[in-house]
Amino acid sequence: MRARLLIVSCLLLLLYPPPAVQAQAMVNPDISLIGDMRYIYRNDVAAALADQNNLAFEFDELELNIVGYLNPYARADATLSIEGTSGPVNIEEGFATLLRGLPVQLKFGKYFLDFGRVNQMHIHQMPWLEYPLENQSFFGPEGAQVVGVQASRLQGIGDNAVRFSVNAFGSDIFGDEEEENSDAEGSGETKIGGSARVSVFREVGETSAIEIGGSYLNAAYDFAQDLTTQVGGVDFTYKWTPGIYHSVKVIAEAMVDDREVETDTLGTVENVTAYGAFAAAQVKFRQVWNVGAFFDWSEDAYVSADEVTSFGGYVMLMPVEETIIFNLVYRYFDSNVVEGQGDTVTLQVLFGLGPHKPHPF
Amino acid sequence: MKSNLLKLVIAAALTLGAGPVHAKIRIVASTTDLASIAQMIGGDNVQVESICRGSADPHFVQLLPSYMVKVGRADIYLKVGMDLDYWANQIIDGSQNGKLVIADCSQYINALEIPKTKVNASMGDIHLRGNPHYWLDPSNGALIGQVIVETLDRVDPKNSEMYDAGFESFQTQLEAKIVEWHETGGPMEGKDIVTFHNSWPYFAQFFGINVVGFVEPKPGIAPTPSHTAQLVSLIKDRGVKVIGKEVYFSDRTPKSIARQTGATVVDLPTSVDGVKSATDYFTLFDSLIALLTPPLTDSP
Repeated sequence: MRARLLIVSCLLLLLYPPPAVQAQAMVNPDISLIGDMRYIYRNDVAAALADQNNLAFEFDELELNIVGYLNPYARADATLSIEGTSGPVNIEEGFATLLRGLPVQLKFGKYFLDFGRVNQMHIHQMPWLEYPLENQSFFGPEGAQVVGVQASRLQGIGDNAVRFSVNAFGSDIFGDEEEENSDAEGSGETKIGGSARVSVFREVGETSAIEIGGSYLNAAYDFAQDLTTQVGGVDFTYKWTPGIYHSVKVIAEAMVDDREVETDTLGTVENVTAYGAFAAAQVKFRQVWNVGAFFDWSEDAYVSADEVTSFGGYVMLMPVEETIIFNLVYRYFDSNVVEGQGDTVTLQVLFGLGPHKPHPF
Repeated sequence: MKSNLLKLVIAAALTLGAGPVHAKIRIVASTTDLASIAQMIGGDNVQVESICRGSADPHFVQLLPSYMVKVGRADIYLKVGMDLDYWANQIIDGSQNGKLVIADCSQYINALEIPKTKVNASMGDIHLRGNPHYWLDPSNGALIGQVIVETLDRVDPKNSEMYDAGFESFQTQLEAKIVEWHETGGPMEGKDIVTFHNSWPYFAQFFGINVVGFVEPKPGIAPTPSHTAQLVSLIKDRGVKVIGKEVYFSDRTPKSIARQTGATVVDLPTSVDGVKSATDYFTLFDSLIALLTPPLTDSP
């Protein structure tokens, strides 16, 4: 009788197997939300010409970050950002990383390109409030975000940690102006671009560290005319962190862009070389206060005689770690094109809910 | 001549094939305390390094590429667990080490202060799995050692006898030291203390000390004037003599409280290397007893 019952049970199990419940399905990923509000006083020629109100209250961005392990070898990261109060919703990043088991770490999806240091940061990590002018000029207003594949390796060489990475990506990464120029927009056509980066990191004593990096990119930006650009960059970072109360951070980057530009309707192509540089320094004191200063300059990627210079400073209060941040920023700018001169004072308020916090660079 | 050459080639091949006679097992630990215990158990068979300095706050560690390189070369990673060294995950991920064995040293600990209600950020930095400063009860040292020896036996079974002997020796020394600490730290029993952060429930339980208040209003939250005023009243009312401050916190508020109450501020190492005299897991407790006993008991 028992044997018959067992056989019937086995048959039923074969016919109706129990649903496969896996551990991964039972574990929630880390979910975080970062809000970025800005209260702006603007004083510039362009605003005056456009008869714009020089006061603005802006909900700049709400960022949703989801991170979790897929299995013992891989992790997925997704960052969605909602611009303003009604959108659009952008996929800032969405990628899977094969963490271990291979000689290199592989990343697939959309991500911030590791060109220099600042380009790898989310906007809320930049107390100076926007991507450096060189990143905006050479890549677009949101820096270089690519859909591609990255292979990287971290290698100890002597006392140095050396990171090598190479990227292959769809070339349609460039912002507003270039997309308008591109006949390929919407056609699904793309070309493959590539970049590489080497950075050397070294601890100096127990509390300081420096990192020096070099990056190179080669990509087409106008598919119809087959126009390409090459960008090279060097970067330097210094951090002194003796404890939780004080720190000093310095970051500096310089880039050069060599771009094929169509100079007339006959299709004459010339190379335009443009330069840019950015530097920022921040001092933390009494655990909750930070003061910083920045310098930002870039030539236009298409007309190198057009240039913008900007500099400013900020005072930042983080009363309870990085859960809420008040950042008062002054920025002066001087452009020899339409915007002219001007300055802005912005009170930025950031909040961070969940494990991923808006920590400044 | 030919045969001599052949012998030479065979000898060279055998020598090369044999490789290093005794390659050390590389261990990286989140904290100096776990590293110290691992060193005592593993002895000459292991090479141990730690990530967080003994004088630094283990809640916050910068993710440096050099740490990832260190972990990339390791065989074993020792985590504190209980969400204290949450940062270790990113270091491990960045290390690209597919062969790394990760051991959570909290797995046999009988955790204190596990929240009984739903936790949220308004309560400060609450750890869901209980207070994570468990290594500060010396009797937990054996439970940490148990995890380490089991991990070493798994990673390097050929030398398991040596590791088991190392663990036995560590346990014997620890038991002897516990007897000694009960004696030397005995006068602290029943005394009241205020500490900066809630790092000491395990230590206080072992030595019978009463932690009656904290400089932080809530775990991980910086001191506020209203809370400090309440704490001053409490210290005066209860006659608390000592404000214990973890070495990595600022002494600004504790000193201000001390001026108002007459209490003494004592810099306390929470980890090995937190002060010069705390050179290993045993001398950490020797140092803590030497630092705390005189001001708590009014002895010179």
